[in-house]
Amino acid sequence: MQAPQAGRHFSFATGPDVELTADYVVVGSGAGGAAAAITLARAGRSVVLCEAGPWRDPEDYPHTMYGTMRDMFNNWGSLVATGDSIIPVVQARLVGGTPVINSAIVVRTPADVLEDWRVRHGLGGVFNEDTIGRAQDRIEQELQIQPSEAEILGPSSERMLQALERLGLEGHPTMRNVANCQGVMQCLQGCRNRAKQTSNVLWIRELLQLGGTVLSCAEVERVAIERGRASGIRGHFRHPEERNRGAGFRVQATRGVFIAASATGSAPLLQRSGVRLPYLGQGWRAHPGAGVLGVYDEHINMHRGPSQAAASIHYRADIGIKLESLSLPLELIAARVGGAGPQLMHKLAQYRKTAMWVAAVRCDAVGSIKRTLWGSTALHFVPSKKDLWRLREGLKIVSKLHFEVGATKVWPGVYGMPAEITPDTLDLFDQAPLDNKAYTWVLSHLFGGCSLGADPATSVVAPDLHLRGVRNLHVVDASAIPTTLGVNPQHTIMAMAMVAAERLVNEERP
Amino acid sequence: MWLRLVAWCMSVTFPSTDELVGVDRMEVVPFLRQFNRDTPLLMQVALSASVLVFLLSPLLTIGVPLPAPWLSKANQQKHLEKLAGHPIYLLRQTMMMIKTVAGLLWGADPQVRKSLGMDPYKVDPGSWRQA
Repeated sequence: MQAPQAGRHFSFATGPDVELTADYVVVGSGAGGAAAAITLARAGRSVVLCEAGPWRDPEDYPHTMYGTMRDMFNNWGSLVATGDSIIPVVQARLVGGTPVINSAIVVRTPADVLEDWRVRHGLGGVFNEDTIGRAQDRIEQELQIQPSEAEILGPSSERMLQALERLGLEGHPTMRNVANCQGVMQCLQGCRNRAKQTSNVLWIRELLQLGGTVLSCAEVERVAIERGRASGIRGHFRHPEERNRGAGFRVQATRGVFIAASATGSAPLLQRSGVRLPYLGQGWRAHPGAGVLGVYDEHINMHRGPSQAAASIHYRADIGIKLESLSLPLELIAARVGGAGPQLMHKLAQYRKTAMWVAAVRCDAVGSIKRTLWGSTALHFVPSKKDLWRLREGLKIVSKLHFEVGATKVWPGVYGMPAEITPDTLDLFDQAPLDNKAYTWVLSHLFGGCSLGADPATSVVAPDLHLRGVRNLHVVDASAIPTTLGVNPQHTIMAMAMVAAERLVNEERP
Repeated sequence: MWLRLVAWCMSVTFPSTDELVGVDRMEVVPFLRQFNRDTPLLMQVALSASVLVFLLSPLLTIGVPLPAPWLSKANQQKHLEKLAGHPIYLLRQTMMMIKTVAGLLWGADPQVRKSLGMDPYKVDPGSWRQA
């Protein structure tokens, strides 16, 4: 059925297949997909945006973490990286993508990263300080990006900034895409107060106003590739609660297909679509992190304030770590605190007196992602010994920060270390095992699988932004990023997607 | 029967104390029924496997060849602590799984939240834009 489509949103449906035609189809509505879609639509192109998850407005956002995992996380967060340990991956599955559930931290692409891309990956002609900088200026204006305001930092982040200052380390309130943040720690559940300026409340609404089309609950199964040219996509709707399959959909794209299905989704989608490139699914990278809970004599109340309002890049260049405050909801703290039974309950009773600060590691390790025979995604990632050393140093520094501002002890949560560390025993971190299985890592900030680059042996997308060997097929999400960044990636992803979309529109043949 | 065993595991992991209400005073079985309706099969398999290990591993943790529910209270406590810090990675990960799921119930409980100075949660709407 060829449906009227301009300005329409199609959600789960049964019945006849939906058939649409547009200049461009964009797969994935997260940071990259939404940025590409709105750029194309503003340039006057007709766009269909497909998202595997449902479209939830802020009034639909859950309150609890159970609801968040059910309604917003990708498959309840059940995707894990394996290797010599099990590391959970935090990603969302809804219109707006992972930015809906992240801490809204927005950091410009570091100059050293762009220089590295120019020198080692041959990307200087497309992504450079000028093009990325201009895109990021625009994004910062549109998403109201600003430093977290002093009044709403929250006690945990305030303390972290005090500690950094006392130790003479760089520290800053996080830059976030929020407006009128009330500091109620709902960042991870979306933001029911509508403070978070995510694409589902901004760009995707504008896309509809510009005549674009949005498909939600729409799982793209294949990219149609005919005679070396991408011509569209096809898939089926899937009910977000019942998980049953609904009607099929097909989108014919006359000018191009943009893939932005995330660093865990894009490479498997291309593999399903018959793309056979040696580096597809390779070059997968991440900034995994782990935290330390500081325990204080007085109430900290980390449930007040944004989830992450303080950060430090002091050790980004030399050690390769970023330090951040991270206030977790009570439901998640339980799993993070060691022990079980009465011992666990005694620790949980001190929740109000604790603050959690984390070290995120810019890992050297390179992993891979692929589609398995039974259709699921297999992610292989093993942090190296050097990465483990970085994490161990980070946890020690974070503990030192806690002690600097009055913590009496910290709970490191590292197997092989005492359950509690005091200022006198801080150096025990130096003896913590360099073993992945000893740490409670969480994987966020994911990169690669469809890397950009000039060398066909180590890239999937060429510097002209076309997938190697397939015209009109472009990848504009974190999977195209060829390196780690050492900072939160969403600003870089959005800017790269905008630059790529603009460039491709400008290069269109009449 | 199985859900009651899962509920028992969660209850001994998060028991009530003088300081806090535990999972043992909560409606665990209805929560688990909802959990099984909402979660992908992989999560249910992971939780069931974790509970099975918890129930059958006292021989590996404290050297007693009995299922965990048949242990004395003192031995149950020793088993819990040993399993949570067991040298075999996959064994201690089972406790992580049980704590993660039980934590979702425990941390959202209004009485627990009140005793920790936090507002109760409102009901999750569970809604989405359908057109």
